[in-house]
Amino acid sequence: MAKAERSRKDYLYASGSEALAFAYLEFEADLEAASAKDAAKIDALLKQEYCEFGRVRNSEKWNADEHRHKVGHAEYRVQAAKAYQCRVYGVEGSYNGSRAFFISAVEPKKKKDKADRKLLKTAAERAVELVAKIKGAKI
Amino acid sequence: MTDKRKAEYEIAYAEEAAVTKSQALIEWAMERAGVTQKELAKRLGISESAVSQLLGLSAQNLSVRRLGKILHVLEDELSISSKERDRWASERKARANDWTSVLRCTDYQHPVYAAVANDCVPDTSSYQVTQFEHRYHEMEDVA
Repeated sequence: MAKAERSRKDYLYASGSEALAFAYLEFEADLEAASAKDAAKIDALLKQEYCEFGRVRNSEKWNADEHRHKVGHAEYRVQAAKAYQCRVYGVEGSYNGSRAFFISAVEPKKKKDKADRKLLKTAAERAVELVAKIKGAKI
Repeated sequence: MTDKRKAEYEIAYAEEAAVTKSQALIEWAMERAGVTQKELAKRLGISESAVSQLLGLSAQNLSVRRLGKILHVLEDELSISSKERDRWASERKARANDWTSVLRCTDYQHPVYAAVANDCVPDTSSYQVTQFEHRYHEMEDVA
């Protein structure tokens, strides 16, 4: 039996006056491994700052350059929303001309200062897969 | 999500959303005014590292009082509201609009509108206004 097609709504995580955030389907479940305080901080950053103001300016709360990672023939720059212990990775792009962040990986409790390279690579790969599923999305 | 986790998360989100939005507002106002952290520190009479802490992850010492002051020195003004208060205000406004649209449609012309239409200063305490409103409320009771 053919798989039921998912709509853009299934991936939409938040939207505001300046931007949108899409996430892979297991994101909310993965975020539950973080503390409530961390999960709340990440949510507030994405919903109240990124989506409403178009970007997060402070480097303590957002790392705009977690290096470029190759997927197929192209390279994608992974970015990170930062809470106290938790990091949420994704790739920035657009959705029908509006700024959009495609959330593709979570590190609920960061143990080292440096981000896990393997997880960053997964984040880039999953972002590409996510964008392919959303009509009108580009990275 | 367990009930305990949900309750913890909701309280934490209420706090974090308020802090995050406040910081984003400050940074937006700084950008709009072309003010750097160094200049903001000077205007507030505090150190640059104190400004950096205000805008950092834990938002140390960011109080409502300080937020008001910061926006003021950035030539902006803090406006505080809440979802329920906004809802209440918009319902009230909608009711007022209903009332004025009824006034415009009735056979009776409200003396205030009549005065404004004739470029006169309306006298809202006049006998005619009182009489008109009395008649309007009678109509409303009948309806």
